Amino acid sequence: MRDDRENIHAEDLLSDDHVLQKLKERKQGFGDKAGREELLAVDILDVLVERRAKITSQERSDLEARIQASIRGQRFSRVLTWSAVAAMFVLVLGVTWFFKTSNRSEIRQFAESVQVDQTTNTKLFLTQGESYEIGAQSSEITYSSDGHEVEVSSEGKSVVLPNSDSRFQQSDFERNYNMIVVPYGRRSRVLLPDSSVVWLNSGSKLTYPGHFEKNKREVVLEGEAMFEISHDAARPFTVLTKNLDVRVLGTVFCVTAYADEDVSSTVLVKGSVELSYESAIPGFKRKQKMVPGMKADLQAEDHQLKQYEVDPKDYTSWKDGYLSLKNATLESIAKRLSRYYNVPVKFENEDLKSERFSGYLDLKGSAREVIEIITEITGKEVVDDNGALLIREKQNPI
Amino acid sequence: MLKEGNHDYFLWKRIKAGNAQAFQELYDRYADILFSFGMVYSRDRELVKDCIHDLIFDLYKYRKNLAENDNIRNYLFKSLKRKVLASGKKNLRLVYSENLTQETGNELHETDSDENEEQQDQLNQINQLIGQLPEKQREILNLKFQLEMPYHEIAEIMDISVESVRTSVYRSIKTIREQLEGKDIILFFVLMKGRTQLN
Repeated sequence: MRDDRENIHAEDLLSDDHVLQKLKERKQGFGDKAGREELLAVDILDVLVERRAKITSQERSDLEARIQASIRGQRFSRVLTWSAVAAMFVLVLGVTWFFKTSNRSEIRQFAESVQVDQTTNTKLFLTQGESYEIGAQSSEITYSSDGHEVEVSSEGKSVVLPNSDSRFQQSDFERNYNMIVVPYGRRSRVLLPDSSVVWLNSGSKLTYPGHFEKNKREVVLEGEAMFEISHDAARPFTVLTKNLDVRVLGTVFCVTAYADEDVSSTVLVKGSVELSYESAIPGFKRKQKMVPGMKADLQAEDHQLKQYEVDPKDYTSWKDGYLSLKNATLESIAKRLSRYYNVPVKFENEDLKSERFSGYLDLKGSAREVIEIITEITGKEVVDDNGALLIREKQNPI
Repeated sequence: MLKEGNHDYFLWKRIKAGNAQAFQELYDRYADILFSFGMVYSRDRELVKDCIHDLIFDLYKYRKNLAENDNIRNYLFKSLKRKVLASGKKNLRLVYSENLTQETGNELHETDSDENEEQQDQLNQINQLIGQLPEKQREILNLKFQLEMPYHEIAEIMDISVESVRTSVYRSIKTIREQLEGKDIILFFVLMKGRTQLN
């Protein structure tokens, strides 16, 4: 270090990399003889170093998992993008055929005829009518490609159940259909025999054949599900709901059609789908195509289908355990959370319902914890109210 | 042992080839520094993590179009800065309340002993003064001392000359020093005493 310390200031010390290194190592010149400029330099250095924000090991591993999942998903979607191009081509050929067959579909009749008792567990109905209950919050159901076996796994355990019996043919349709009922508070993922994947959100029912026919794949949905359809040009895949049918050949999309809601909607993530719905003139169907990144809402009352641009992530993130929100009303958030967790959410004051939020909500915690994240920011609070969660203005403690 | 540059060169080649392990390696090597770097440009931890996710995912998605590059570090820093600044503007986000405590520019850790109170005061003052510096100067200080980046690297990230970076560091510290001295000379003597006792 230099001798004429009088004229050396902190800025000289800190902008000289050699001196900086010594300051960092706290070597020499410190203690009693320390110059005040050196002390100041060290203080400034300390503050700057302290300002560094560090990623926690939890955050680090969560982020790593997220990146890995995205990369894996990308590998899968490359195949899908390719098949979507093929899909658009074949769709045109299929339209007239579609007109004749879609109206009275056997599977729809079956799905509507089956009444399932209110259940608190996820219930799987197999081909011969036997049912299997799953106690866990989320479960995975995997069909073998011939549809003869079903593996049910949850909480790290799994069982293999025998399914369809070759003696039952198409004519015996009632016994050929399978159904899964996912109550509020539960989720399930189903890998169908054609290796299409369906993520069922809370409060949903999916009906599908134990093995698909040669020329079509039809499932009936009530509730909300995200579909990743495997490509098969010879067998178009159709999701039938009460008011809206979604027909595809290979794509990723999300359908919402809860029985207690007037609006049925579809969000297209990838590929191409065609929507079909009853027009104002009874018996006549209307069709509309969708492109990725769009959401279509069907108002059952007035037979109007509206399409608009959205971020598909906002509608499909529940399958990965979080909610992505963009300018969503507190009312719609509460509705989704109460389905997801099976807990009623109430508002003390109606005005609160229309407040809007954007961001990500992690759904790992309890319903209350998740709602608290929102309320903490906005000066509201959440309290238990006879088993329901009540959102209200923060009351000052007495 | 490979030199850093060499190592990056081969890592980059494997990334271009879509080697899954290469992405793992990239993450292991750069996750910590990228996060701290990103936080220089935003106070939102979630946003910075989102941007790191997008950054690495984009690398994967567009790997075929990547140019030859033997300085991954630089590429990562520049892209991350661009992403953080771009997405920071977009819209308001739900920020977990624990993250909001960082809003005031990182309160420094409180020390419990009375002797240290003056010292703590001084550190808080410095912290405040850093917060009052013009944005560019603060950015440079943070990169230089928080992230321990060499001058030439800061220059490249900010697209300015090495000399400008040096001058900026010098000026910022000078500003801080002068303002501190202006504020309270007496405090200094008390402080000195405290320091001396400590050592």
